[in-house]
Amino acid sequence: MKRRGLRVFVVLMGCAVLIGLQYARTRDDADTPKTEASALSPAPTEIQRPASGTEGGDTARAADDNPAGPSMAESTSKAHTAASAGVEPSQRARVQAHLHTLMACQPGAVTKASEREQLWRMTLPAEAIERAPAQYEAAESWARQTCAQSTLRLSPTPGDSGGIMGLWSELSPDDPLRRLWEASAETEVDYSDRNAMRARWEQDRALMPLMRPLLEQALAEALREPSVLELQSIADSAQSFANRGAQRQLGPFAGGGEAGSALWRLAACDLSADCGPESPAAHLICYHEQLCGYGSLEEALIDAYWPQMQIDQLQAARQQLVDRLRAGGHGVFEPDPPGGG
Amino acid sequence: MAAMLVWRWQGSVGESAVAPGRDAQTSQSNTATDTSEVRTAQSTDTASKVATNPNSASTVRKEAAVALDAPALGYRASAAQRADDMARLVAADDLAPLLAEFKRRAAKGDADAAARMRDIYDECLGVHMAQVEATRDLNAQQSAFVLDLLPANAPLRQAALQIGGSRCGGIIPPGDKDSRTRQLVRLQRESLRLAADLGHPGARVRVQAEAPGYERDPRLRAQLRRREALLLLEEGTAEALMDLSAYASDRTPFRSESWILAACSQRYPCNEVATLRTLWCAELGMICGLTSWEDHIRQTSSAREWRLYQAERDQILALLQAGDLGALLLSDEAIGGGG
Repeated sequence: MKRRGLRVFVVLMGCAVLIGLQYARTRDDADTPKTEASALSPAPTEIQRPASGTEGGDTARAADDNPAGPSMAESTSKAHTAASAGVEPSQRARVQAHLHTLMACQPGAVTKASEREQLWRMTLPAEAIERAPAQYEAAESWARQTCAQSTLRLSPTPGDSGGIMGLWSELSPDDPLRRLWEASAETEVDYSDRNAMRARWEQDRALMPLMRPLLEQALAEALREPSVLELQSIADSAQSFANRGAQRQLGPFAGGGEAGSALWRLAACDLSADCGPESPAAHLICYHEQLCGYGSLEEALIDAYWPQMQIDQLQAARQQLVDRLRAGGHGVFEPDPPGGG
Repeated sequence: MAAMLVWRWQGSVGESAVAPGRDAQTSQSNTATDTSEVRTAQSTDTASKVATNPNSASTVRKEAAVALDAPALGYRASAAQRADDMARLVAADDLAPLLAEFKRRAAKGDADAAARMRDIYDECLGVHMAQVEATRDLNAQQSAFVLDLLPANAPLRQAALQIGGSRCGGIIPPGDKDSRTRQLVRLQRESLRLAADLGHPGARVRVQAEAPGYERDPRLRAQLRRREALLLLEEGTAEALMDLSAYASDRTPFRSESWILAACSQRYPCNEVATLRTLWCAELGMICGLTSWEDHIRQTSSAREWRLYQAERDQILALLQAGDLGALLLSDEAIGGGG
C-alpha cells in the first residue's frame, strides 16, 4: 500500500512538472521554441502523435484559458523571490516552483497527529523523534502557505487524481517529460486474463526500443537546472520500465526501488539542487513521507531507503551517477559493457 | 480451479481430508460417522504408504489442496518433541539418519515429523540447485543496486556449498541433473502433502499457497486467505509464526520481516539458517557472512525499516500475549474482499 501511495505521489509529481512545463512553454513559446534535448535527440517517430496537427496550438490555448494558468505564476514562490530581486526566473525555476506548489496542495499521507507520532516513535532515530513535531509543523505551515498562493482546485486525496491527470491532455505532445510519463504509466492488468496479459506483454515489447530515448530526452531537459523532484520522477519512470522487462537494457542506475529513487534524489542535491533544511524538497519529504526531524535530507534518505549493508556500495554508485550527469548524462541509461564498467 | 475444488470439497457433508480422486481406502475413512480411532488407523495406513514409498505419484495431486479445516489424518508431536526435532535438524552434519527417523514417525501419523521431512527435502533441493548453479558467476555489474556478489570460487561460498553437500549427501538421489531435480521436487511435494493431510497447519497453508489456480470471487478469496492466517495464529507456535511470515503476512497489518523476528524471539531456530546458507550464499553468492535471520534482515533493510520491524515485532508479541488475534489480522476488505 505504501509503495502504491508513493507511486501515486510520484505520478502526481510528474504530472505537476508537465503542467508547469506547459505553462512555462505557453508563456515563453516565442523565445524557447525548442528544448535543447529535443534538438539534440529528435522525438522517436514511433510514439503515437495526435492525428491533428493543430493540437499543439489548441493545447496552448487551452492552457491560457485554464484557471490554473495565472495561479501558477502567483504560486511560484521561487519566481516571486527572483522577481522581487529584479531577476527574471528561468523557465525551469518556474516549473519547479509550480511543482512544489502542487505537491504542497496535496494532503499529507498521515493526517492524524496521533498516528504520525506513533509512526515516528516506531521508525525515527531517537534524536529525530524530538525534532520531528516541530519540523512537521514547519513543513505543514510551508505547505499551507505555498498552497494558499494557488487558486488551483486539486483532488482532495492523492489517490483521487483524476483532476490532475485530466490536465495531461493540455500538455504539448513534444514535451519529453510528458512522453516519458505517458509511456511509463502502468495500468492495472487482470493477471488471470491471458489475453490481457498477452496484450500487456506485446505492449511492453513494442515499448522496449523507445524506453532509453524517452529517458535520455527527459533527463537532458531536467539537467538544465536539476531539481530533486524531476530527477526522482525520471528515476521512477526508469523503475517502471525496469519492472516491465528492461532492467538489463537501461543500465546500472535504473531500478532499485526506493533505494534507486533516493540515489537519484541525492544526485540532484549533489548537482546543486536546493536540498537545504528549508528547501521544498526537505519540507515535502517530511510532509509526505514522514521523514521528519533528521539533520539533513541526505541523512533522511539514506536512513529510510538504503539497506545498511549496501550504504558504501550505493555511495559509490551515487558518485558515479553524479560524475556522469555532470558530464551531460550521456549514456546513463546504456547498459555497462560485460565485465563491468 | 484448485480453490474451487477446495470450496466444493469443504461443502460436502463431513467429508474427506484428502481430495476427491485419491485412493478409495482414504476416502472410505472420511464418512461423517468416523471415529477418530478409525481415522487414525486408516490415515496411518495412508501415511505409511507415502512415507515409505514417496515415489507413489498417486498420493500427490497438486491440483487438490487440503481444506484448512479438514479432519487431520494424523496427530501432532509434543512441544518438547518438536523443539528437539528442530534443534537436531539445525545441528545435523548428515540429514539422512534424521530423515529416516522422520519417515518412520510420519508413517505412524506424526504430522510434525512429516513437516520436518518436507524441511529436509526443501533444503536438499536447494543444495542440489546450488551445486548446479554455483559454478556460474552472475554478472554483478548490471545494476548499481544488486548486492555485491562473491565469485563462485570464493572460500565462503565454497564452504556453504560443502556444508550443504555433507548434510544432503545421503538424500540427493543419484542420476543426472534433471532427474535429481525431478525426484527432489516430487519428494518435497509429497512430504508437504503428507504433512498437510496429517494435520500440520503450516503445511496446509503452504499447500493452498502453492496450489495452481485462483479464486475469482474476491470475497471468497479474502475469506480463505484470512482463514489461512487465522489458522496459523491459532496454532500460535514459533513455527506457525514463521509459516505465517512466508505465506500469510499480507493478511496482517505487519510485514513479513516483523513476523520472522517475532518467531525468532519465540525461540524458533533463527541461527544457521539453511535457506540463507544454501540459496543466498552457495547458489547466488550473496550475503555469505550472515547466517541468522536477524542479521540478514537487519543488514538487508534500511535503518528505518529495521526500527519498524522491531517495533512491529513487539506489537505482534504483545497482541499474541493478550490473545487479541483479531488485531493481528486485516479485515476481509483490506485483504481484498471488498469487491
